[in-house]
Amino acid sequence: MQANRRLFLILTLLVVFGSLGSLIWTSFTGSLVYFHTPTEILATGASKAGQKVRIGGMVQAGSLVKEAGTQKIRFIISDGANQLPVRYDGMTPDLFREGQGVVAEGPWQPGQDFMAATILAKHSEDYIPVEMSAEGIARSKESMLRSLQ
Amino acid sequence: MKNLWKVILLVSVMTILALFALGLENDPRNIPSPLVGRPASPFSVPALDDGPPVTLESYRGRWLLVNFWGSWCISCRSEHRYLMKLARMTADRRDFAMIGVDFKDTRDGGKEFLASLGDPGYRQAFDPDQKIAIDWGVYGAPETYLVDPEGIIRHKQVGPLYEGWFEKIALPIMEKKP
Amino acid sequence: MWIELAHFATIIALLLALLQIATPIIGVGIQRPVWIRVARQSSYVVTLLLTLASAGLVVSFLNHDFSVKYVAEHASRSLPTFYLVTALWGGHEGSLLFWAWLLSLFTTIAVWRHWSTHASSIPWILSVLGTVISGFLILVLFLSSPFERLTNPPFDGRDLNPLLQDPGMVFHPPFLYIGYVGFAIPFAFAIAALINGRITDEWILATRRWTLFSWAMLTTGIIFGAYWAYYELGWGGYWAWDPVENASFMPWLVATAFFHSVMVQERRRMFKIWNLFLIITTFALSLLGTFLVRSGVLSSVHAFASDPGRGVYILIFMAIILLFSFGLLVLRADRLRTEVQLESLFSLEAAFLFNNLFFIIAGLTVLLGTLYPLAVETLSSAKVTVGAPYYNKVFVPIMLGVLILMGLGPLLTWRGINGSRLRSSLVKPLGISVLGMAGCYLLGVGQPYAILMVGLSLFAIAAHLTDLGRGITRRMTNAKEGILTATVTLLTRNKRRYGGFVVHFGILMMAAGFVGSGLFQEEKNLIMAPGDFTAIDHWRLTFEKIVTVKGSNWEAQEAIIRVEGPRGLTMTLHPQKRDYQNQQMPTTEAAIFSGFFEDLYVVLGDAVTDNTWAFRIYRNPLVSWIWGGSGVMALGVFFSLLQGRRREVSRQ
Repeated sequence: MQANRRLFLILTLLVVFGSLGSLIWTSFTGSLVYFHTPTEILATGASKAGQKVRIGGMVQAGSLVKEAGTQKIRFIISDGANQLPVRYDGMTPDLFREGQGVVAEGPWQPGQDFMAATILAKHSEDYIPVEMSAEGIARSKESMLRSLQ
Repeated sequence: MKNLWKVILLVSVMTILALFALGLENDPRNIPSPLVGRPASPFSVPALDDGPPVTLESYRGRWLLVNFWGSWCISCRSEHRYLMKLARMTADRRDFAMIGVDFKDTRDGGKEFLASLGDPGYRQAFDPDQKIAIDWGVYGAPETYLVDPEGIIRHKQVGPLYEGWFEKIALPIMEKKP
Repeated sequence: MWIELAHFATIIALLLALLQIATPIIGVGIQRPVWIRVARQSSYVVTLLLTLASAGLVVSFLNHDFSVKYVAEHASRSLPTFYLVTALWGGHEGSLLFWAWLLSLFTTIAVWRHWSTHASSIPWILSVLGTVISGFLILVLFLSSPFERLTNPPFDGRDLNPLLQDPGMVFHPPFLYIGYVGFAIPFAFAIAALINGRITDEWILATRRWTLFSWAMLTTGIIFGAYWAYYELGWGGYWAWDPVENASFMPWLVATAFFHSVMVQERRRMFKIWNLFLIITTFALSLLGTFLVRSGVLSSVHAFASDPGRGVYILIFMAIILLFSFGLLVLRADRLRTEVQLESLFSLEAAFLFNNLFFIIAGLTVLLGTLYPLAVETLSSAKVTVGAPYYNKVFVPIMLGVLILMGLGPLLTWRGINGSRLRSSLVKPLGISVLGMAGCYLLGVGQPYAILMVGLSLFAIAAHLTDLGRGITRRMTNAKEGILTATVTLLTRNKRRYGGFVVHFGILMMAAGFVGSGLFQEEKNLIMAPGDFTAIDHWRLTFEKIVTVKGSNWEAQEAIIRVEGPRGLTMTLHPQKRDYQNQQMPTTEAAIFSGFFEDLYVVLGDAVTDNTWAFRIYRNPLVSWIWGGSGVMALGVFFSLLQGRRREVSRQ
C-alpha cells in the first residue's frame, strides 16, 4: 500500500473515531447521576444546585399526602437522621407506600421541596443471595424511561 | 512500539480484575447507615410471647444485638441456626445480650417459627406494624444491629449473619471501645 | 432422595471433569492416545451425570420438595407445572448447574463431531472445556449449591417472583446461556490452536457454524428479554440500558465483530491476532455476563456479603481464564504476523475493519457505562448511575455508521475496487436512498435522524438487491438458466452469503423498529372515571368499568376499556393490577394491542378516588418490527447454517 493511501486511511480512522470518542466522553460525563441520603444532600447540597440527583431513604410513616382528584403527592424521605420533603406528580410504582424504601430522582434545588421526576419504590426485602432481582430491573427500567424524556 | 498493544491488553485485563477484587473488599451490603454512631431509637413494645413488654432502655450498660426477622423470610430460617449457636456461645458473657424483633408478622406466624426452628432463649419483641423497624431504618429481613452500652448504634448488618460473624465483625467493634 | 442423587451425580461429574483436564495433557506428553480417549469417554459420562443432576432438581420441584432450599426459594404449591420445570434456571444456583450441563452437552457434541477431523486440537479442547466445566461444578458444589437441604422445611415455598412468571422470561435465560456456552467451543478451538502452535485458519473454519449458532441464540435470548420487559414490566419500553441487559449485550457486540472479521481471515489471511483476541474477549464477556448478573454484584443491595468466599472464587476463576488466554495470545503473537497488508480504503477488508472498530467501540461504550458505577462505588463509596441518554447519544451515530457499511458491503470487493466501478454501482442505491429521504420529508417526517435512517436503510436494501440481481443475471447468461432456476441455484449454492443478506434485512427491520418506537412514541397520563373517554392519535378509548378477576395464584383489579381504532377497528383491552398470594408485591399487567404499524399500550394505575383511576397510555410505532425482524434474522442464520462442511473440507 502506498504511503499516501496509508496516510489517508489513518486520517479517516482518526477523524471518525476521534469524533466518536469525544461524543462518548461528553455524553458520559453529562449522564452521571449521583445517589445521596437526605443527610448527605442536606449537608453538601449547596454545591449541587440544578444537578440531577437521586435521593434514597424511607417514606416516613404518616407523611404521605395525596391531593384530592389528582395524582399529585407529597411525602417525606427519611434516613432515620434527617428528613427531606418531596413532591411528585404521576403514577407511583407498585411498591410505593409509607414505611417502604424509596428512591426519588430529580433536579436538586437547595432550600425547596425536592421535585421528583421519577420515583422508584424498594421492596422490603428478604435478603436471599439473589439472582438478577427482577424488581430491581423493573425499577431501573422505569427510571431509565423517565430519563429519556 | 510494536509490542505496545500487548502491554495495553494485559494492563487493561489486570485493571478490570483488580477493580473486581477491590469491589469484593467493600461489602456492597454494607450500606452506610446514617444511624451508625447515633443513639438507637428507644422502644417498649409487647413481647411475642405475651410476657412483659420488651424495652430497649433495660439493656443499657451492655452491648446489645438486635436482630430483625419475620416468619415470612426464608433467609431468616437459614440464619436462625447461627443465632441459636451465638446465643448459647455468649450466654455467660455479662457484657452482651441479644433480642429479636419480629416485624411485619402475625403473632401466630412468629410463634410457630420459633416453635419449629427452636427458641434461642432471648427476648423477642413483636412489631406487627413495623414501628420499630421504620424508626431503625430497616429495609428488609434479616437485618441486625449492634448497640453499645450507651445505647449508640455501632454497626448494621444487612442480610443473614454467618458462621464466624461475631468474631469477625462484632468482637473487634466491642473491643475497640472499652 | 432425588436431590441427593443429583448431588452425588454432580460430585462424580466434577471428578470426571478433572480427569478430562489432566488425561489429554498426559496423553500428549507421553504420546499415548489411550489417555485422550479416556478424556473423551469422561466428557460423555459427565454429560450423562449432569443431565441426571438437572433432572433430579427438576423432579424435586415437581414433587414440591420444600426441604430443598433452592426449591423453597423459587417455587410454591400454587405455581403452575410449567414454571416448576423452568424454575431450574430461575435462581443463581440452579442456573449455574444448567450452564455446566449445557457446556458438557456442547463439549460432547464438539468432541464427537471433530474427533477425527481435528485430531491434533482435540486433546487441548477437552482440557480447556474440562477446566471451564470444573470451574462451574466447584462453584455449584461448594459455594452456591442448589442441593442444600433445610433442616426445618417450610410448608410452602416463597414462590417464583411474579415478574418472572412469564413465557418471555422463561426462555430468556436458556437462550442467553446457550449463546454464552456456545462461544466456549470456538474459544476452546482458539486456545487449542494457540497451545499447539499450529495457528492456521483451521480453528476458524471448524468453528464457523458454532459461532453463528451461538450468536443467533444469544440474539434470540436478548430479544426474548426485551420482549419480556415490554410485555411484563409495563413501562411502555423494551430496553433500558440496565446493567443486567448490558451484561448480555457486550458479548453480543464483540461476537458480531468476530464473525465479520473472521471472513477477512478466511479470504485474505489477515486479522489473525485480532480474531483470536475477539473470540477470547467474547467468551470472557460471556463469563462476566453470567457472573455479574447471577452474583448480584450489579444490584448492590443483593450480593454475596454473607458468602464472600463465592466472590473470591469467581474472581480467581475469571483471573485464571483471562490471564491464561490473553497471556497465551501475547506469547504466540509473534508467530502470527500477517504478511498481507491492506491495499485500498475502498475494499471489503477496509469495510470489515471499520465494522469491527464500530462494534468494539460500542462494546467499550457499554463496558464503561456498566463498570464505572462499580468503580466509583469501590473507590469512593459514592453511588452513581449512568443514565440512558449516554447510551442513546453514542449508539445513534454508531448505528448509522454500521448501516453505511452494511450498504457498502455488497458493493465492495476484496483487495479494493476501482473508483469508476464503485461510482457506477453506487448510482442506483444512492438514487433510491435520496428519493426515499425526499419522500419522507414531503410526507412530513421532521426528525433528521428518522430521515437519515430511512435513507441508509433503503441504501442498504438496494445495495443488497442489486448484488442479488447481478448474481441472478450472471447465472442466467452463463448457465443459460431461467430466472427461477437461476435464483434458486444461486441461493442454495451460496447459503452462507445470502443467509447473511437475510440477517441484514432482519437487522434493518429491527433498526426501523428502534427508530420508530424511540423517536415517535406518544405517551398520555390521565385520570378517568367509568364512562370517560380519551384519544391518542387516531385511537379513541372508553373506560367502561373495573372488575375483579382471579387466577390460580393471584387476584387482580381489571379495567375494561373499549377501543375504537382507524378503519372501523374495535376491541376491548384489559389492563390489570395483580396481587400474588405468596409475594408482598402487586404487579402491573399492561394491556397491549400489537398492530403491524403500531402498538397501543395501556397501563392501569392506582385508584385516585373511590371512582377514578389513573391510566398511562402509549402509542408505540413499529415495535412489532423488532420482534418480526429478529424472526427474519433467525431464518437467515438458519439458512446460513445449512451450508454444509463440504466446502470447508475441500478447501483444506
